[in-house]
Amino acid sequence: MKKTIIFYISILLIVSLTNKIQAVELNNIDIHGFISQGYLKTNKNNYLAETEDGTFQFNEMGLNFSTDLTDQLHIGMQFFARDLGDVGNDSLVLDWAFADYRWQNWIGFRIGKIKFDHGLYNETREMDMLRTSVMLPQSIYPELWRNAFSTIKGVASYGYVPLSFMGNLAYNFQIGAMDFKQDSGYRRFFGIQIHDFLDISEIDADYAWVGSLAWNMPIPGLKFKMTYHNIEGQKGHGDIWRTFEDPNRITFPVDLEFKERDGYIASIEYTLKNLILVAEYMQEDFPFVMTFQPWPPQGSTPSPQGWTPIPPTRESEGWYVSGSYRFTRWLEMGLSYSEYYPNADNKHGYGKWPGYEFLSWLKTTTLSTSFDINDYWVLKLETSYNDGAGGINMMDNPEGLNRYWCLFASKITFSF
Amino acid sequence: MKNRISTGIMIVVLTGIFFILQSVSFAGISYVNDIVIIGNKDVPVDSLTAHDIRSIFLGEMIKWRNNQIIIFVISKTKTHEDFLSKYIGNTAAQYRNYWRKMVFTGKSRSPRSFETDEEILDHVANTSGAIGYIPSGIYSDKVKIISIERETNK
Repeated sequence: MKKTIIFYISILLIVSLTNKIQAVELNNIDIHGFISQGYLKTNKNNYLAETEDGTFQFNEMGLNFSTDLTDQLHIGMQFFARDLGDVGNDSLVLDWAFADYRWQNWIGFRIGKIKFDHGLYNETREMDMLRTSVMLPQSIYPELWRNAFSTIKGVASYGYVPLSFMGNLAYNFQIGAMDFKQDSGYRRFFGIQIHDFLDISEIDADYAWVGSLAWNMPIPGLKFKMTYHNIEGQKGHGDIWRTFEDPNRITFPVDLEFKERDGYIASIEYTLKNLILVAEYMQEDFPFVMTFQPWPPQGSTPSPQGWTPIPPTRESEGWYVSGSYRFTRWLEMGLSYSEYYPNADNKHGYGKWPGYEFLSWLKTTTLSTSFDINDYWVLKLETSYNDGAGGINMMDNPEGLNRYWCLFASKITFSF
Repeated sequence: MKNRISTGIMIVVLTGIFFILQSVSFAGISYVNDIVIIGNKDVPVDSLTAHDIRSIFLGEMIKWRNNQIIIFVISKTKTHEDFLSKYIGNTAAQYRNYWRKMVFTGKSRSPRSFETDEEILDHVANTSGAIGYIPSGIYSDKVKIISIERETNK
């Protein structure tokens, strides 16, 4: 907490010490930063935090330093803190820190803690001021697992290959370790992808790698991108609890082992002057073995009364389409529709508790408005209508979930 | 899994075809009469394609053909918006956000920018490997003009 306060004050000091608010350059070191405060309110269901009562526990701040050591060697680091309900709690973390050597047009190398290349917008999800919406589509970019999927500690190779009149290709390959262990949000989100009542207490992986290929097509503004990721040696354990309808909650400890976990995102983005259209589709497979402690059953063998047998593999699926348009220098609006299925083999909720089939999907329509007050301040207002509760944590809603619900989100961001 | 991959690719491909059909009338690249691309006299090229220019000003292309480092500079004048519209296909806000993305992900520093077109002219003239753009009216022979190649299937 003390570190966070010092961090917050240092951002304000840097801003106030400059005669004109702008990026700061000290001894050839660039200093940039941002700070944002949001508000979330739902009419039903607690989503990401205690949103039924409205919450201000939705903020972010970052401060980065970078410089060029030579014409081709660039280094930098960013400190970051965020709060979202009981995730983050404004703990100060090293968000990224790496050295980037750009050898040729077609190849460069990065080593250190690098932003994880995952779809079109994962690398920039901390940069609220770069998009129209407050929340990225949760079908592809779940807010709760963003810490674990934010960076990778390891090495990367990237570059650009011209294709003459066919545009150009941009590639990126990253391999290293991802920080699942420290991400409480990831544990909460991933648990319910496997079982509605699974609370994962610990999870980690050996290593991960990701490869992406983006084709900037000859038609100006049109980009197609494929991203594939693979996580090796993921293991964890937690508890499955019986049901929220049972007043005497019973938990059963389980161990989880994932043989291999992989997924891909296909993305397309088209920019035409002030109009940006985007579509992305993601699928992720995670075959796993779940071992009950201290008694059988295991996997899909008969389970306690009222429980759905757990298949040994899961496929989650999500997609969205969105469009945004800048009407004036200060006003931009966006509209998106997304669908998310924690278990793509059961999109209609077969086998769920009667009346709770809607835990198998989340369909969201979102309208966003962004006001660029000036080059440094952005205010956003957003409302979304939701059908379903796929991916929403039951433990945040001990009184049960509702199928239809609305979320209002607002956020103000300052960046320099 | 295969069916789902096919479905996913199909959705994205169909969306792409839709966008392509919608944008056919905007696909042509026109020459710019009132903006000239200028380079330092030691820059080893006399012409570039529009895609080369786009790659340079997005930081994708960092070296000239003789391995010399490319130094590109931008202006804060009206010329900047015209240049972006014609060569990069972005608005000023989109271009600014592109570089903010590069800065806030640690990939690069922001490009150097100048308040006036005359400053751009002077900086390009005095910096090895530099490239920039100015209104044709203020051109002087202390820099060289880089012409635009028509892109063909070579």
